[in-house]
Amino acid sequence: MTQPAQTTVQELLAREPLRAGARTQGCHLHFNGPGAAGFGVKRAAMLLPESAMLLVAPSCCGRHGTITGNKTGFDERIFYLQMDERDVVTGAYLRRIPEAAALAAKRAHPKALILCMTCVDALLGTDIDRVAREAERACGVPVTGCFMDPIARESKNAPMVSVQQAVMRFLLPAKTDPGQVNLLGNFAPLEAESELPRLLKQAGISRIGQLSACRSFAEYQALARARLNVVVHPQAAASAKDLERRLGIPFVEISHTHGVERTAEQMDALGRSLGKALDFAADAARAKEALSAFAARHAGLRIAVGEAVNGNPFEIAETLLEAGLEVPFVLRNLLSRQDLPILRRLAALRPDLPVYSGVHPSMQGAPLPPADVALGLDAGYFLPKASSVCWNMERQPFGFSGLTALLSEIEACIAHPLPHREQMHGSYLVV
Amino acid sequence: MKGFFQYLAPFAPDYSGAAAVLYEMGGLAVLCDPGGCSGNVCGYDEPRFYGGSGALLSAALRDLDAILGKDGALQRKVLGAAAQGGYAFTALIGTPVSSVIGMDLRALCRSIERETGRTAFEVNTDGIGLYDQGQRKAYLQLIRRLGAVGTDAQDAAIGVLGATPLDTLGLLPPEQVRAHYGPSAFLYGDPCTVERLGNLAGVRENRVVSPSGLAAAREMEAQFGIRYQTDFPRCAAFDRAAERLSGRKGARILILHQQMAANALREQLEAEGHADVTVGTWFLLDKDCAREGDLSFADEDAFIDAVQAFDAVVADPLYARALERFAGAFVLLEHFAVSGDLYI
Repeated sequence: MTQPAQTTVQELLAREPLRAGARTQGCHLHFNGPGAAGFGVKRAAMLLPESAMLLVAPSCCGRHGTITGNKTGFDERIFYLQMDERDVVTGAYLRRIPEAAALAAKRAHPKALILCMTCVDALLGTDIDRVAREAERACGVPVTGCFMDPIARESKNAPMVSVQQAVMRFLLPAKTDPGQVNLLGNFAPLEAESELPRLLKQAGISRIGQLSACRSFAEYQALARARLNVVVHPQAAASAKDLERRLGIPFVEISHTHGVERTAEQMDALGRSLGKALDFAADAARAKEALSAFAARHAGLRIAVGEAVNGNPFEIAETLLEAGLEVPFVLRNLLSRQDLPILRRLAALRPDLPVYSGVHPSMQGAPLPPADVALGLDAGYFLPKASSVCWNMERQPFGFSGLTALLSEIEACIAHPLPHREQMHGSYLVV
Repeated sequence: MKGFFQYLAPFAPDYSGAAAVLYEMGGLAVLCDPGGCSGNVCGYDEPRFYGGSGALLSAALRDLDAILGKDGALQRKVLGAAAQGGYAFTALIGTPVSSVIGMDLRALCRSIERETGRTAFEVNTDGIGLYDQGQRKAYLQLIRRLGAVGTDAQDAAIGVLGATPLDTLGLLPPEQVRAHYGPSAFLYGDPCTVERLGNLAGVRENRVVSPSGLAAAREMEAQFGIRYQTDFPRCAAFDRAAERLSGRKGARILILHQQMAANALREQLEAEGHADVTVGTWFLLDKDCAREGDLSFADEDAFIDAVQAFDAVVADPLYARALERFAGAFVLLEHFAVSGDLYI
């Protein structure tokens, strides 16, 4: 049996220079394993209530929308303008977009329309802003464009960046509400157990705006009243910069961490942005205690950490290792800017920690170090004997309660393991 | 309006069809895409992918690869994977990206073939065509590149073309197809021995169960004298549809599916006393296998208008969204290439 391509934390750090964007296993074909999936551009766009999408593309680009759209219910709001070979050569489809936008508006009566283009238009250099303006004139509702172009996945204009910019572009200037902040970058509303609303009250914040919690376009427009945008996922940083420039809303990037000390640092940074130190000592103590108790209950538990997790896989591994738990390996393909300092800390904790790329061809059927728990559905696919824990963007824990939620989820999955395939079907992820 | 779809969502594309033919054959199939196209195949169109051992990989093309035309980088990646897996052949499958940037897949395959010493061929799909067009291209390439006849065809098995999951899942599981044609039947797309891979046209005769297999069957007939018949085995899904229609003997019925499955159901319904049954399809409609009045659809508005002339429609549930105005009976007949696993 072929051995999977592997490196270690120490070997990664020995690479000179180690940069964000570096591939852990070099340049290779990709194995798109089940579980190596994300939220998807279409679903992210359809979080905007009372909106519709016009996808201008070859028919293939809409295929996953056929399935996920039906499963999640956004199929009623998505329209397709399909191009043929002649269209690609002549660009004739561009002249049909205003009419298609008008037809979509007539059917769905949206308050806003998102025009989505793909790799084809990205490569042809289509002026999407101009096309959107023409569509807007034809359909009578605001139109903005975004690209679903995986070819740009590793660029600063990656599709999940582009769509998050697009959905916030409909916000109009509004009077600032000093009692409101927004969360940007989460696709599910903040979990009810999070201490964040309570902590923010200390700084006079009574409302937390989130796109995923908006039920109407009017509620969405109220996001423009925030005094601060809190970016909880790096992919939303470009959108936050747009909003700062256009609406004057400042932003702060706060990582969704799991380690107690690191979460405390994030909360301190949030407090500084709001001009008020947040008192989270009791929350931090509870989280610390929960982690110690978990580690004591599960001494020797081996938890493999996948890349398809809500959080940074290296940071989660660091948290588990700090608590004395075992981490047989971490899955990571591309290194992010946030990874580099974590890797340096991990080198002190576990320099020989194996790192695999979940998309490397050698991973298919490969013998991996055994684990009791597979965190993330990508890891779950490779470890059929482990308890699979779905810990992705379908839910949004945050803060100290994020750690306790993770530990509870692991325990729940150990006690009542769900077949990986069943978890996949329930997650509506886009592969 | 040409190309505008407000009710119907996209069907399985051509590259999914090509991948469906090649997935289990023992070769390395590389989708020349950035990752999204292979996501469509692996996530939605290839039910054998989960837990399967077929080598279906993505070229993971990035913008700079495309802009700078870094075909050499792709070749190195393919050679790396080919060396690791010891595959019997390599197939490069086209996508919109490889098509737009004008990637010369044939030249790349020649170069890969020289390096590996094993057959490499391209399937020139572009993501614009539908799955059966991709299957058609893949079957043709298999026969042209791996089809030399070296055995006594009279002693060989029956070949079955067009029985991929995209064509048959929901109607017939592969084991039923095999049971119907005998245990020695060779379904093009089956895992292959090296001997078989060098002699794909070594069959006694062919059965073509979807129009995607017709071109390859005709080529084998012209080149090797191997006869073919179109066919589709009777199945429980047909019987259920016939049962639903049993009280509507005078009704005008439209069957929507791939042509061979729809033809077979039509014959079954006619044998049970239905007189006015039309076949319609969004996929390939071969004129030699069609009757006068059979319908080919490419446009949503025309489809909606055409359906109104019938009293009953037999079709995948996904079509129902487009038939809000349709007052007749809607009888379910799943087609994996249309709705994937939504209703199966």
